[in-house]
Amino acid sequence: MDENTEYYWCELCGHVYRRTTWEANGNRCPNCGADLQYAHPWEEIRALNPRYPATPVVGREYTMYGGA
Amino acid sequence: MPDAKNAGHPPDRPAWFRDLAQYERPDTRVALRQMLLTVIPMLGLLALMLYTVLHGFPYWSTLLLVLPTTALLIRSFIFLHDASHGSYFPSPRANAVLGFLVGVLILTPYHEWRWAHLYHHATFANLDRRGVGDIKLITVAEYQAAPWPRRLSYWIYRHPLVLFTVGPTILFAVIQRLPIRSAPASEHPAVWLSNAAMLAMVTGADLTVGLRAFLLVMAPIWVIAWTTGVWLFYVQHQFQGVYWARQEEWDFLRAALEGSSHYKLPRLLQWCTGNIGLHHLHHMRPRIPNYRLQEAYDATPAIHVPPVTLRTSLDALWSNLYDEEAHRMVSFHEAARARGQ
Repeated sequence: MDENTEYYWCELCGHVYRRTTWEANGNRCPNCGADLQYAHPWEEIRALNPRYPATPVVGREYTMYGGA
Repeated sequence: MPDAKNAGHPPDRPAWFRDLAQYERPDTRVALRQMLLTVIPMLGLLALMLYTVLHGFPYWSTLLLVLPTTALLIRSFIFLHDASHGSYFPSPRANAVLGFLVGVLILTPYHEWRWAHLYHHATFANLDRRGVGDIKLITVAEYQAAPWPRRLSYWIYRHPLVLFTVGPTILFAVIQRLPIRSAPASEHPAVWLSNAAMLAMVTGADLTVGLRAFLLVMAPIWVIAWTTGVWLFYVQHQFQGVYWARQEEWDFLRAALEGSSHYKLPRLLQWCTGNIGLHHLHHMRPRIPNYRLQEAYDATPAIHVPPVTLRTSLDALWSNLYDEEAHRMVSFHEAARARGQ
């Protein structure tokens, strides 16, 4: 895991938030309340989807594969 | 795992867990084929049922078609379920449209159901985060400390003759018409939109085939589908041997492997229920679509846990309370007997 990632993508709901926002929410997804177990560094998701932007739109839902 | 949580970073996962990610890719062609092979026969059977009602066939001939039609509706609900995880189609919009339409057909407000279901995934098997998207479960200690009206209402709620008869109908036909109080206000309009679509469906049916014929066809299908859904959900998380833990001890992988069952059904029932019996795998990797679950399971020996079978699932009928000291589900009777000793 890249511990320096700035954004986490939630595997449960697909939304992206800043890592600091997850932390401020008790290390849970601000949208669906998922635990950090479901958090993936944005870089991992971008590696699967090269067309995704380097900086995601915070609060937006991105699918794991394919278009946002 | 708790260390990783405290550090504020996602924990490292075993290699086999990471390997499962390859199955999370939706396939439009497979999804479309699966949907057409389910929805078209279902609509055909519904039309045939209507025909028998409208042309004076004995009602038992209509009822003969209830089970296959219901099976296809349940399978359609699994597509809605996949859509809620963004795993049925690659496109979020296609998933939303599919989920909404199937939701109307089975009287479920898709968007709010999705919110509650994702909340369930975030909190399953966690004794400190119960109450949304799950079947109400309290511990032995909570039950014994509760005032008698609350104990009585819980006893009635959990009785199999309520939970698996009128309970699902009340849930789907009545409770789901109103927004969940704990849901964000942003989810509420979608509930009213779903209600409006359901009203349009019923009105349309009334104006064309008549409300009586519509209900003679749909009522038995709905009741069996709703009850089956509640039963599946119940066996998936409240089976004998299930893992529940407090927040500080809650472990994701353990919750997935032991807090969700592998409900091994006969092949036909597995097809009708869209592989949802592989529920432990589903909780581990919720974005694996139903049409890839079996393949992912076969390739991952680490998740080959002892299954719950049709016969052993009946043991869960009297799983009424969770005993935190014994770490197991117990019946009201067992709890009372233990207290008396």
